Order: sequence, then C-alpha cells, then structure tokens
Amino acid sequence: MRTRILVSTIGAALLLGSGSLLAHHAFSAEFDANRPVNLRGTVTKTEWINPHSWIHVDVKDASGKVSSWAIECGAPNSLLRRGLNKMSIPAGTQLVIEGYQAKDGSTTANARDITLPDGQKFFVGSSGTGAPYEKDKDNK
Amino acid sequence: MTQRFFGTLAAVTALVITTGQIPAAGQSRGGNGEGATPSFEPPRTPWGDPDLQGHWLPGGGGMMETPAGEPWKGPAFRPTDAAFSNFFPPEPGSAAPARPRTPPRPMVVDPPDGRIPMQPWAMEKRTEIMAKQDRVEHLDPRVRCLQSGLPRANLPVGYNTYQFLQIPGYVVLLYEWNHMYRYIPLDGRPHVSPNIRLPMGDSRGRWEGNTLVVDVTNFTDRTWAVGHGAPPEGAPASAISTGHGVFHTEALHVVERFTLIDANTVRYEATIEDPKVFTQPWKIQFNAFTRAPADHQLFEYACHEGNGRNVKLMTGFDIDK
Repeated sequence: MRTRILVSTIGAALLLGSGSLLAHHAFSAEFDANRPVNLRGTVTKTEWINPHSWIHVDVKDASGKVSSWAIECGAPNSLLRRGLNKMSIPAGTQLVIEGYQAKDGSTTANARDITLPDGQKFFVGSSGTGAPYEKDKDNK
Repeated sequence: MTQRFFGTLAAVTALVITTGQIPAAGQSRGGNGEGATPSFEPPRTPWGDPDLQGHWLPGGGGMMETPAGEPWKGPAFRPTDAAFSNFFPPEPGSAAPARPRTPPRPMVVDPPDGRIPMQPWAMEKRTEIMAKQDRVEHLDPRVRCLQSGLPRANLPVGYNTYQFLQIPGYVVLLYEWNHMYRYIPLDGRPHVSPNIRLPMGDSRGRWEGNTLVVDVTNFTDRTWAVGHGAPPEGAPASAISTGHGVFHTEALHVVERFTLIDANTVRYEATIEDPKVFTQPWKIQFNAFTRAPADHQLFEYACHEGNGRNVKLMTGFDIDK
C-alpha cells in the first residue's frame, strides 16, 4: 500500500516535470508552433525508443555557453523508413535541427527535420499529434 | 522494376481517379468510406477466397466522433499529401502512395449523430478517466503497452502498419505495433470458453460475398474500444472527437467487416456492443487500409524497451541511473 502511494506520487511529480512522458499528447500540449527553432548542435546521445526517438545535442550559443537540448523525433520505425537508424547519428555528429520549442521555454524541442554534415536532410516528425508539419497550409 | 513502377503508378492513378468520380446509384463514392458497398471484383486466392493479402498502411480515418452538443466539423488538422509520404516514403522510382481521403463525417456512422452512445454512468466514468490520465489506473492502456483491443487496433496510427496473410481456412492479421496479431479461423468453430479472456478478443471469420466478416468476443475489460490521434490537452471527454477513454466490460462484442473496394483500399466497418456501457450497438466505418509500396516490410516495434520515462512513471525505478 505504501509503495503504491509512493509510486503514484512519483508518477504525478514526473508528469508535472515533463509532459512527454505519456505517449500521444497533442503537440500543442507540450510544444509551441510559434516558437520555431533552428539549432546547430553536437549529438551527445540518442534514444531509439517508442513512441518517440530522442536526440540529445549540445548547442553552443554566441557567447560560447553550451546548453543541452532534448529533441523529440518520430518513432524509430518511421525514421527507419526514411533512411535513418541509430548508426546514422553517433555521438559527435554535427546536426542542424529544425523544429519547435517547448511551451515552457525549456531546452526541449519537437523536431521536423534534421540535416546531417553531408547535407542529407531527413524528416523526423512525429505523427498523429497535430504538429504544424501535419497540417494543410490553410489548416483545413 | 520498370513493370512494377508502371503497375504501381497505374494503381495509384486509378485510385486518384476513382476517388474523384461522381458515383452511379448504388456505387461507393470512391475512397472516402461513403455510400453502399462498391461492386469491385477482388482478385482471388488459389482456393477461391477474396485476396486481401499484402502489406497495408493506415487509411484515412479523420475523427472518431462528433463532440457533444456540437455539429460535425472536420478534424482539427488534416494530414497533407506530403505528410503522408513523409511518414510512408514511396518505393524508389515509383509514385508516392496516395493519401487516403479523410471522410467528411465522423467514423461513427451509427447512431446518425456521430456520437458514441455511452450510458450516462459510463460517460461520467469516461470523463473521470480522461481527467485523471496522470493516474496509472486510468492511463490509456495502449500507453502502458497493453494490447490495443478492437476495433482500436485498426484505427490509423502513423507508426503502425499491417500485413494480411491468408492460408486455406485462416486469415492472419499482423500488426507492426507492439507485435499484435490475430489468427482468424474460417471453419465455423465456436468461440473459446467464456472463462478465457483475451485482450484482442477471440476472432471467428467467414466470407459473406466479398466481405470478410469477423465476430470477436471473449474480451478482457482492460482495453479501450477506440481512441486514436491525440485529444486536445485538458479537454473534457464530452468535447473530444478522438474516441479516447471509451472503456468497456467483458461483455464487449465486436463484428468487423473487411471489404476490398478497389485494388489498393480495404474498407473497414465494425459494430460495437456492450449492453453494460452503451445505450445501443454502434458502428464505425472508414477506409482503414491503404496498400503499401511493394518494398514495405514490418519492423519490430518494441513498446517500452529503453523508455526510462515510462518505466519510471509506472514503477518509480530509474533505468537510466
């Protein structure tokens, strides 16, 4: 009984911290379509997990300060169908990431595209969440 | 390669042309799940059954139901042609798979108001379930990597694809998502004992003309009957159109109908009843399956492996430490 209360408390606390815990929140629950980001970063870690893969990158700002960004991408099988697998972007790879920042302003983003050092661009968006890249231009 | 390219191009062109047609009386209006069952004559297996075999992509589902008290309006977003082929790239050298058309109505076709007919107590419980998604006991069972149940397994998800196989006397449906499968005997044998409960139910199939009819019983009470896409954050159950939170009891009974309406489209209908939860049986209909490019294969979908966030949510244990 005590353990169950503890787990529920931990669960609730975690949820407050990061909406991305649960699968298939609406895009608008976590990310802001009006906060586009274009990041240049170095891969530190990738998580090839479902339902969203994650790429962690170190991004250096103009002053030289480095911040760690967590980049949410689509499911590994979706990325695989587009030509990306976990060997494509090892730690140390320089990436250009285009996407949308978290609503709370944290260094988290939902990615639409990534560009590899050789210029290859991959669509890495998530599906079924209502992200901007899923909509018609006139949003019908 | 060239032959396959032109074959695919022809099929895609035919699909596009078909969906643009104004129908003759009694014919389907093409690819959007409307109207009467079309008169397409399917290819046959060597033993004479309609041939539904192949790899399939999710179809054009749109929204499940009309929000309470509101007239029907289209989905909050409509996937673009570009988006569909972003998620499902075409075979190299061939045309992109045509985006399945979204029906201009909810998937719920009966009752006519397009609203899932829950009993008042069930709607209250559904409201509570959706308000308390942070509680593990209410959390969407599919998020917990439990089996989808039915008809939910057949609703469009951008990272779920399918393979249909047929052998004499059986139809086998393979689902990429979470290793799900269904093994459907066609020989009229009875369902298993009511003491046996299965998350995907127990399926028994038969052919009615060109339609595969599958009767499914013996469900657990641990799945949701429907639910796809993402409900708007914080919206009460009455205001969502995605079908989340539709729980059921072990009395759930689903009858499905799979019909090939053209070379590249399977129409799907399901009648859902549970007299303990719904006021009446209700029915969904949409074109659930779009033929995949020839080089498509199913990959393993490992549901929670390595996902420290979800493991921590449910157990408190930090696998990343």
